[in-house]
Amino acid sequence: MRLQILKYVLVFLFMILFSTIFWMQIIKGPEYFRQSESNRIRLVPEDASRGIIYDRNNIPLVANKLAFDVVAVPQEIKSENKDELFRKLSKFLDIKDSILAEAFERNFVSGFSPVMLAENIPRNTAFLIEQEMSQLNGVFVKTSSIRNYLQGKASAHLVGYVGKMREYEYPEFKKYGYQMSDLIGRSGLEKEYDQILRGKPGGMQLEVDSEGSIIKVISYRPPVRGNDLHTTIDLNLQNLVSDLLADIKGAVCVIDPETGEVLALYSGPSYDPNIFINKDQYAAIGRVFKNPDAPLLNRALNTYAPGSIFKIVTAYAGLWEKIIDSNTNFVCEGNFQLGNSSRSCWLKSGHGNVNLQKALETSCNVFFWEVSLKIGQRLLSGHAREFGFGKQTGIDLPSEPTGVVPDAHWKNVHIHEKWYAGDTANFAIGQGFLLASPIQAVKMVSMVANGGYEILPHIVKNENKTINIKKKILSEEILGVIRKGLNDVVSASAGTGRNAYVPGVAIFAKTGTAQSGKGLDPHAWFVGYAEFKNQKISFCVFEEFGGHGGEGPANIAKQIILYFKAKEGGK
Amino acid sequence: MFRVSFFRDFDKILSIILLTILVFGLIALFSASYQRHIDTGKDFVLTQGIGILIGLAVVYLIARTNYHSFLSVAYIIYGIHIFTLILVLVMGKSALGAQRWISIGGIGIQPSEFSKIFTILALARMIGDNPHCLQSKRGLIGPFLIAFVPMLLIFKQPDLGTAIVILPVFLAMVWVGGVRFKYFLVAIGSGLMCLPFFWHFLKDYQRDRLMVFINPNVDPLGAGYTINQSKIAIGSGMLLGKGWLSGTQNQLNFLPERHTDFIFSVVGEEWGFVGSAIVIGFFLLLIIRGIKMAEMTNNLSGKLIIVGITTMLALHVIINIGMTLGLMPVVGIPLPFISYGRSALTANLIAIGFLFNVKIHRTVF
Repeated sequence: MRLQILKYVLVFLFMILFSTIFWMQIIKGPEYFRQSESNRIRLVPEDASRGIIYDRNNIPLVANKLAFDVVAVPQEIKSENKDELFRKLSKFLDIKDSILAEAFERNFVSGFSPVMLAENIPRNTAFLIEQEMSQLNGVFVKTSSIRNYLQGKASAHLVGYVGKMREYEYPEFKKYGYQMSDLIGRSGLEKEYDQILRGKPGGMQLEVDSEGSIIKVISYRPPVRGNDLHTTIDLNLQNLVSDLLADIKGAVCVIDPETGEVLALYSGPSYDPNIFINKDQYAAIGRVFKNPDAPLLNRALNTYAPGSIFKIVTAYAGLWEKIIDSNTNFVCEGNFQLGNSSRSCWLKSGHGNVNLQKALETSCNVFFWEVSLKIGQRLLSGHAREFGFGKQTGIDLPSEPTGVVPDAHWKNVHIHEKWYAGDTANFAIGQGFLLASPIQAVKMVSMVANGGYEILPHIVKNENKTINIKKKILSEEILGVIRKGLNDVVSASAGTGRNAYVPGVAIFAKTGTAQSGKGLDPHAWFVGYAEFKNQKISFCVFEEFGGHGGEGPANIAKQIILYFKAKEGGK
Repeated sequence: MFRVSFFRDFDKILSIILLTILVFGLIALFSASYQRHIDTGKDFVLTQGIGILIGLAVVYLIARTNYHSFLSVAYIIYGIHIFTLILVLVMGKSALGAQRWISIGGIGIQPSEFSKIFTILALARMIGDNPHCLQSKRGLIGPFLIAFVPMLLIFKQPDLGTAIVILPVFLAMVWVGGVRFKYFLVAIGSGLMCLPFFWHFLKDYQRDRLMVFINPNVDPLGAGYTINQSKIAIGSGMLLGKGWLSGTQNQLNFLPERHTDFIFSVVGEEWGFVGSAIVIGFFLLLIIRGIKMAEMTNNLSGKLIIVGITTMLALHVIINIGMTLGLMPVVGIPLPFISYGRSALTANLIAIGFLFNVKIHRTVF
């Protein structure tokens, strides 16, 4: 009896063993198996280099260069030599040995994976360390491929730059196969086309033993370089534009109005993207971030009051809605009575008796106020949208704002007021609530140039023709009327854009001088297009708080036209 | 006097179970020592095989000699062994922070392995001679001292594992010997009350092991490393195992002590649940057979020898495997007949020899 009880106690204890192995091997087996696999398999990643970005003539805008990093392989360093090693290394690198020791601790992964001690060291230092290798056991110079922004400031807002992924971004990027350590495009084309530009990282799968010593290479996958981008940018033009605008706050866009290809896009002031790549540029980065002129802002996509350049739209709306025709005359006496208030045309003495052609040439406000009262907000908003205002142009750059085409509903929601006739009057001359970006402005004027087709401005050459199927939006007949006025802006004696006049080139343009707020200088706009032997170009030159569109911007536009004239010959 | 028929009463079932376990052991040891064999050139399987052959010869010799002869000298052997234990404490060789070894004629032996058997024999003699001693408090003092003196000496060495085994063996023997239920409960109760007292006497590394047993992740690269790696090895074997010689935890050296105390981790990893269950199953058969043999024995001393030895072997298996599964603290008890190591192998085979012996000589008075 007592023997039986002893037996059951012992059998019970054995049953615990059986159920535990069942639990561990059958229920939890796969989990333990994964753990055993991660015990023995180590990944040593090898980064892929990014694709190169070219201009339209295959001149690289962004390339890669060799960077030298100092790494240490822990299992080749004896712990008693570590301090001495860091002391020696610190002399070469001019980095405190305590910082090296800290980097070693922080970046340690396992015995055989190289630990990053110092990134992107000068080439000469790298060679020095290579020579002194015998003294620096366990330390190696590793080469890697990093971004080289060849055009520096000139193409900063176009190409953008890359940076380290932030921890909070990782969960989102993980879905697309990114790794925490990957560099990602932070702005510009680098961001927009990150998936194309980034290569496929390669690496080695190693089997290791408990010491971390390599037993064998299980597999090796070489990294695959990212795809190149071929852009439509004309580097010579881009450099010219960059020199012309330089550090003036503003933007210049030059596109082919037929295809939407962006030939140049510059935002001033600019920054050198290389500061985000090369080490120890914290001071330079700090200066960029603290600069009150916000060099990181891409003003070509930022929205502003467009001012008188919007009169093109008002003119089109008036003609389309048959409120005016090419012969309709209004008298400008320098001011305009609207209800109880009076507002004045920019020319206090008045433009006298003006028709549409003259009104565009001289940018007469009174003419367009008259039109606006007859046309009303609803129709004007509709035509503004036809020209692409109030929505993204779809240009292949990140974070393009839509701008604002106001209407009664918009005003009610945002300003909590009803729409007044004065709002329509402001709207008609590109003031008030209307907001548009230089790239939207150049799209508008391109539609005038190409006979009324909607275009998609794009920087990367598009082999896929389907998106280039053009949708005709505007009436060619009406545009013809407007073009006469736009031509006079540059070529007629009273034209507001005479500064852009280039003999022998057909130029169509409109100036804008948009009120930007009390006490501030107005925004200066100059949009238009020019016809050459084999090509048309449309442009928008914008200067934030830049004064009169017919001055600085028109002068820059003239240089752009001269560039093409020299290249193509006039028409 | 009845005539003893050695072969008629030789327990064939037990021998088949034993031989099967021994063969399993050699196969497992071959894999567990494979890398070490390559590295050091030392042939563990050959050494163990020779140890088994010598051990089986000893089994035969012990089985032949009537256990009553052993019982008659049990007190003398016990006395000598107590003296040896004191000797180990005074001049023993320290291995892994513990003084368990003494060198006799150049061969290192671990007296504590044999201590358990001598204690069982002495207890069986004392209770067998006077079963009534278990019915009174004063009578229990004798058996109690026989168990606790070696336990304390071994504990001092310190060999926590062996000391831990003696206590339940003592309890099992007095239980089957017919101790009054009340006293049995008192014995268990006082044993539990002694636990904090034991903790006080533990060395730091033993406390670490116990703490790590409670939570292996306190120090995953230090004291907890072995337990974690062992659990990973066993668990990763899943249903059918990774195959003989193919356990990555084993062959890539993630398992320390894998040819000795942690050999079951190799079994678990390479043979999977099926193989592990078969190995544990054979041990269970061995234990059940032992109990069966105790039932077949009328002589109280003989019965108690079997009970003591069966309980001892069962505890070796449970503690060792429990340790590799993370159910028990790491106390350094090898897996009987499978772990590499001469002292434990010989001692366990001697113990098995007594099982055969009592069965053969059970009708002899």
